[in-house]
Amino acid sequence: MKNNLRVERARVRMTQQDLADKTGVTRQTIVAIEQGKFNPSTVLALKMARVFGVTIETLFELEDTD
Amino acid sequence: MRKKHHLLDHKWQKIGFIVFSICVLLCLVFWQAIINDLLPYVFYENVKKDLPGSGWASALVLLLTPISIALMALSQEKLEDERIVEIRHQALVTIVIIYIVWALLMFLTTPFLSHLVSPTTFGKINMIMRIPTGVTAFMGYYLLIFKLSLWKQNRELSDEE
Repeated sequence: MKNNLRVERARVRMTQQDLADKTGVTRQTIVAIEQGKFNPSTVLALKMARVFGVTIETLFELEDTD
Repeated sequence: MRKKHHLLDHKWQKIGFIVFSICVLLCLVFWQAIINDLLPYVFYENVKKDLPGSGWASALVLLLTPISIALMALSQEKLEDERIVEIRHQALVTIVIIYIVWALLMFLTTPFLSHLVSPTTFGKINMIMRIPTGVTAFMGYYLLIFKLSLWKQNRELSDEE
């Protein structure tokens, strides 16, 4: 699954720690998601979309291999 | 929407760690007496048991070690998020697979071992191999795998900003 988390984070000038605090997870979890090592749950993905004020599809998109 | 983890609060992990440290300290201070008290359980042999203080120290270690390991294994991390829950699940699956393989190995090798060595020696080997199958060891191994995986993953992920 591809994600634009880093791009959106840069757009609103937010650190990984800020995003972690706002979504109630650890900073390492944000890093893991950005690197594609961990797929977030629907709830966490929705929380992130809400923080950035975008739709979930803007943040995450399925790849052919998924 | 908040998920229930059915785990104890994080403070219990700290309490468990303190109690476990006390057990380790007791083992270091009364190591000879504790070994003498515990060896008969392993080898069915009576070693010297007239050492002062061996009774209460061994009893405390035997009682508190499983409790402290259980407290550490069954309490959540400071911030128990879904990645940590996944690592917890992976650790649990790994230890269950190891125990199944162990049980199968024991089942398959027991007939051969009993023919190869004397019954007394076989009893000793069998007992040594049975010890790690106890609940305490199961929780201990699970905790070890979980903490190692968490530490390894956090170390890999901490570098990036």
